[in-house]
Amino acid sequence: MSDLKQLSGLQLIVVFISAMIGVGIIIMPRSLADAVDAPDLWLSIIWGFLLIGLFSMIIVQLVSRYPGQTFFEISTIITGKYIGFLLNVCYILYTLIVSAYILRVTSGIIKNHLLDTTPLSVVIGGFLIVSTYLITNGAGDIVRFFQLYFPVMMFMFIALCLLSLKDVDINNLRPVFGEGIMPTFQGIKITFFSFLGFEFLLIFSKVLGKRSPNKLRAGMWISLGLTAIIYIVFHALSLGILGLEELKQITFPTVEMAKSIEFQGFFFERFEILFLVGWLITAFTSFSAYYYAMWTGVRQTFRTKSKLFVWMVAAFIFGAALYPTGMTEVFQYSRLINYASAIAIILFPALLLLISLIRRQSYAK
Amino acid sequence: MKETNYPLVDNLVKMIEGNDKVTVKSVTVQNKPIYIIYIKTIADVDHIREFILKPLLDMKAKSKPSIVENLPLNDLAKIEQSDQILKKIFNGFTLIIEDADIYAVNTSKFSLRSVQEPVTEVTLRGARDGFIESLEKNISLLRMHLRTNDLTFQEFTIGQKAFTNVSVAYLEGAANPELIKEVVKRVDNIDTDYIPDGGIIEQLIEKNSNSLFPEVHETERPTKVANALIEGRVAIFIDGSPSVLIAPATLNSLFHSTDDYNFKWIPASFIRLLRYFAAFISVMLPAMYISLISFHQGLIPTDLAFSISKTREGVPIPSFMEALLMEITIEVLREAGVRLPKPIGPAVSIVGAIVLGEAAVTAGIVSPLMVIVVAFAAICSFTVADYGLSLALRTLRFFMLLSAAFLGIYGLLLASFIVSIHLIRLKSFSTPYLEPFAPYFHKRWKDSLIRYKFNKRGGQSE
Repeated sequence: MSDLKQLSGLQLIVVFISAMIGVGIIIMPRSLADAVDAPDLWLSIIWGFLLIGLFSMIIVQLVSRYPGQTFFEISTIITGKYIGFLLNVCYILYTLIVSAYILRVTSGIIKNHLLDTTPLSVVIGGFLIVSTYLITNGAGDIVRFFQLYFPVMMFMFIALCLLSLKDVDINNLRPVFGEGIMPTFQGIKITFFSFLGFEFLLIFSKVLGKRSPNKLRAGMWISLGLTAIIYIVFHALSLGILGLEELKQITFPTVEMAKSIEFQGFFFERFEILFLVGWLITAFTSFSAYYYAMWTGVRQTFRTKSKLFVWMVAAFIFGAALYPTGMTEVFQYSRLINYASAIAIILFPALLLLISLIRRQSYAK
Repeated sequence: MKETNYPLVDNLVKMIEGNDKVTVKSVTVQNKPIYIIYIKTIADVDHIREFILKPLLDMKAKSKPSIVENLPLNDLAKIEQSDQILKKIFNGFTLIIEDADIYAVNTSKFSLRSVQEPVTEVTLRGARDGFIESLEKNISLLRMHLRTNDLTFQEFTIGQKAFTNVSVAYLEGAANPELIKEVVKRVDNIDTDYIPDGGIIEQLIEKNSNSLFPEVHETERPTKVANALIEGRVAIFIDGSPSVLIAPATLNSLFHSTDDYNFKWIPASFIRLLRYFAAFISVMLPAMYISLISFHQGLIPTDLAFSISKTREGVPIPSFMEALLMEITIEVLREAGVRLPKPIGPAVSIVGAIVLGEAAVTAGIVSPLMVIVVAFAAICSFTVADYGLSLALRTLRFFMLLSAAFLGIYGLLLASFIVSIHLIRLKSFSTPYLEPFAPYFHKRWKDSLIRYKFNKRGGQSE
């Protein structure tokens, strides 16, 4: 298994940013534009960030009461064998749905922009197999992989931002508070879920070691904050380049934005490849995070040590990812997924923390 | 061979019987027979005559009880264990037997070449001596470059049918005791008939035999070994092999060359970055080209796309086959160049490069752009100093090419994920292969992608 004993502060931030940024960056601009319908939609991201920061504190509180335990262990400790089992199964289902969703959206985009004739199952299968290879060796490898690719992904994004800067029409971003502050609150229901991935803390608590809750809180706020900044920058850029009306029409606005960059005299005229590669890395990392969460859940709930189980998990994800027939159907499911996530990341941890507080149960020293 | 009066000598002779090269001489000194046993072909006969036989014949009564111990020899040692006898004699030692005691003197004289500059590792600046095929000479070469009390050797003899002397060298205090233990354990556990060269040891002590990447460095340069020992690594010397193995190896250290340290830090770092970049290009470029040509034509700039399609006009085979064909040609050329005698080697490359390449383009079998891509990738791969790593990268290039042919840029990305996950998992003697990048060790970055300047004390590692 992995030889990683304790995450460093930097690793913590890298892991959470890599887990959080994923599909959201590519589909959020459109849904946010639909929901807010105002040029100051990026404000919603800040509200979402603040809200999710508060909820993440529940998880931090819960995790620091049971150091070295994952959600699946904590739930059984708190609620007992049978209810814990039920909770775990629900959580496993949740990770299954989210990972299948990420996988499906990712392969949809790959099919759309890179491989239009390749069968979807091949695209999904390849992604799944490589991710399986990554997660089977445990948390240490995952962290190292995230760390290795983090600079690559950041480089791609920063390069893209700098290149697209000159195409931004600042008028597209104005006015701020043109329709008051209320519409931007409307967007919370979208932006809130773009931070999904932070609940990975429930799984990664295993390698947090004896990190003090305060440091953990700081780490969470920093990674959430950086993610929010990246989101805001991308929204401002896509809004500035494409304009609000266009943003509402295009399925994948961020890719369109990358496409629209014109930089003559350079070998690569087309920059969407730069963006797609950088984004594929983030999609891979966030998918692997959920996949690992699911696998950990299956292992700890059903108490199996066999590595062959991972293929069963993979088969489930594969089936779930191929279930929707088209992209439109996938987006219809996304609302369902949001409800499921709200239960999994807010209700479950809050409930567990409450019971734990009432029972005055804590393993922390 | 005639029977002697001593069962000890008879036994010994029986042990080596059938080997007519063993010489047994008996001298009677003070009415006591003394037997001298050695192998003529590997022992220094003059030395034996001068320092063993002559003094024995001239021997007068002395105060010491043993006659042999009066001989003017500096490394006379008594053999305590019987299994040492054969090892000693085949190492060129001379055995001297007096009563029941067996003494051994080093009189070895194997035929050896002189110290030369290594052929495979070229440096511009710095020491030019290279290891040769003798363990002892190699150790003396190392000692010349590394004069310290801390240099420690642990000796092993490996092999069931024919034994080889192997020495594990490290600096006491600099090397991690865990590492030393691990290397010693792995060397000690080798159980094989015969070790012809360092490459075999390398394969016997590594853990991931299915990995493409080398787990140890192989070098012929004493300075490189000295540097590695100072850094706390462990070297394995093999008798009869000019290559010395250094463990552990990391991807980062395999990219380094001794020249990096001999020049000023900014140009040296620049060259080092160039080397990393070249290695990346050599693995990825043909695959990237294939994926752009056959999957993502839309991503190629319009003007370039036009000129590419113009050059590809009339090429009868798909671009993937074209690339594969060229890659295989290059590999064949390279292999032929290595195997051929030195004076003919360059001729092959001229025939390959000019005649084959030029003619293939003119005949319309391959497009000129493909020739450029493949040739540039091949040249880039020449910048990788370590031959083991360069072999790994050459093999990887085909893997990348294949994945790009199936799934384009996406396949290429997945393939690089697989390679990076493999490298993340890989460990060389418990050291992560991708250190200091993943896991990230901030302090070790000073000697990674860049080679940061030395501080006043000459050190760099803190």
